[in-house]
Amino acid sequence: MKKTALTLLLAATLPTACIKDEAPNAEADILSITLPQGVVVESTPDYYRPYDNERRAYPLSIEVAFGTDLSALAPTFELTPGATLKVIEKGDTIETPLDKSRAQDFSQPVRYIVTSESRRWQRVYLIDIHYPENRDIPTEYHFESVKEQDNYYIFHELAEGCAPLTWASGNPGFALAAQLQGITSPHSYPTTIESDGYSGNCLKLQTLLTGDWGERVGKPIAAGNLFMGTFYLPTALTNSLNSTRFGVPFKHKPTMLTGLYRYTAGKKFYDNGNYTDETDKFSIYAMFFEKGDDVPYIDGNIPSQGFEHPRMIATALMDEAEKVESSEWRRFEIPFDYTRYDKILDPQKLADGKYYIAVVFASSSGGDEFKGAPGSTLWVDEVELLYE
Amino acid sequence: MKKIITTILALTVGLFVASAQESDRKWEFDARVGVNIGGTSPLPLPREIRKIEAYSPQFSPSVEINATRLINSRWGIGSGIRIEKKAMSTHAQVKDYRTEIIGEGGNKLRGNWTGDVHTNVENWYISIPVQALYRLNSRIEFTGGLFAAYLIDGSFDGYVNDGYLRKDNPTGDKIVFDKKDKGTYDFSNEINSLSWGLQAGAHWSATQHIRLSAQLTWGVNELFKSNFKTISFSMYPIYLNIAAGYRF
Repeated sequence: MKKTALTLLLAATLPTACIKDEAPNAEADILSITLPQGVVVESTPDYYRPYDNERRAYPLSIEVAFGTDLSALAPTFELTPGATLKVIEKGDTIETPLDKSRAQDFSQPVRYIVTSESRRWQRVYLIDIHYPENRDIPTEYHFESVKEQDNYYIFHELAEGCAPLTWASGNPGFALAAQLQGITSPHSYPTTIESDGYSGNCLKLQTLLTGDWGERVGKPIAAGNLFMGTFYLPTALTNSLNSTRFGVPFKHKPTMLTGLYRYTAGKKFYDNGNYTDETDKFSIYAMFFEKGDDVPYIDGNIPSQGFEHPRMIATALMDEAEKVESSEWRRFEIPFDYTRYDKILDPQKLADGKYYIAVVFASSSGGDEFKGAPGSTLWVDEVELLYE
Repeated sequence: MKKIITTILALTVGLFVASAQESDRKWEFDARVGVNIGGTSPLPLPREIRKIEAYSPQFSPSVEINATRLINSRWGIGSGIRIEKKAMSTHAQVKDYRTEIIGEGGNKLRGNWTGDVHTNVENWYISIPVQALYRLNSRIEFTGGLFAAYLIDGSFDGYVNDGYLRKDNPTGDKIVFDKKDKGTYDFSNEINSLSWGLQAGAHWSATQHIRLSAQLTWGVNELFKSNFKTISFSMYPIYLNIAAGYRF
């Protein structure tokens, strides 16, 4: 009898415990783009760049070899399963079935709209197929102009006759959580700008507390950083060192990194769950390395690996004794060391842009391992990269 | 907290034993010790849940004291007090599940998660049942009624891994978590302090004093506070209590 009653009770609960049919996909991503045969793609595109407010789209940039005819390219797309694609052509929105690739004039960026299988969500992409940048990047950095994006600043360096240089930073990663913490001012981000520079504006990097939640998982700080390269967002919260991807093409042999800095070390140094009386230090360094298909970038693990890398050609590392706190602007001059790696530069590769440079600044040198003192602040201005 | 429980228990037992001694046959008293086996689950399972990889009931003891007023030879009405834990852990695969997690850097973020979710629920309640009793024969009785439970101590936490979060909505920034990465979450502060629902039980008397009971408690109000919107579906505690009791 008791058994019967139990069986009845269980029978009443079981049907409700069944797995329902899968809902239509809600995502609307371009997973990959394939260009027609014969088109040489120079680098793997980043499909997950943050939304660009100014262009009102997710930017997707593909670099193809010089001489590729951009006027009629028919890419094929792989989307989230079930999603559909439209292209904006001369102001008209045209359905583009995935099995029929449709040629577009990519001499200007082309806007695509992906609609999810559920029909509820859309992602607008701006696909920019372009040639590799032929012009050199600027070699003087004044930190005068920023663009605001999602409440944080992105530094740009512009110079006559040069390609614009967009600096990367960990700000996009910080932004993921900033909103829930009520951080809305770009000046409250680890990487920001300040008007009180040596000349005009300057770069300001600050090591910040990440709040209660950071405290809980023993990683309560975020250091400010600025570097040449890209920040890969999808791994920002789980593997920030991998997200930090150094390097932009540089067609000259760098010899020296010079500039001005001011530094205040935070009072309490945080290291692995404890506050110690260690004094925080900043980082200013540069790397010159050979890029390859197998090594498209050097990632943020490099300092903890002692700058040892098979593709490294030279580094410009600041003497530890030179890293001092100062409320006055101090000049630094860091020569590039080529002897350590003992490599011979190939002039052809240099001309072809196969060598990459990365200049890096950080407010806490151990910030990438969540070591540093909240409040540590590094101001940098008037940096110059000297070259032969 | 243990002190409070012990005190309440001791007082109640004393009271019951005292009144049992001086009562006539119209009153019956019993004390039980048991375990809860069950789950805190959305009902029915929402479409976001694609697969239950693992479920394990956690040790959930209960102690209970009841008083029943017999109306006639078959029917009675009773109430009591029960101190109990309702705990379980699950590992599920979900798709497009709204949640809030904490990443490696301590960053808290909200969005739609696709991947694995590990959940631990561990709630202590003081419950008061009010129920009718039906005596089938000298050995078998059924009870049915309502319960109201006050949360003494609750936790609802866990982590996500092997998947990705889309920030804010399914088209937002994609944040990847590998198998080894854990995005933790903790909604312990969002648990409703009052839980009420239905209960139904069957009881078998092995001897004049020893009784075995099986009792289902079905929570009818949501586990979480009504202003908690992070998880898009409602969850309910449904537990089967298996107990051995002594009838005074």
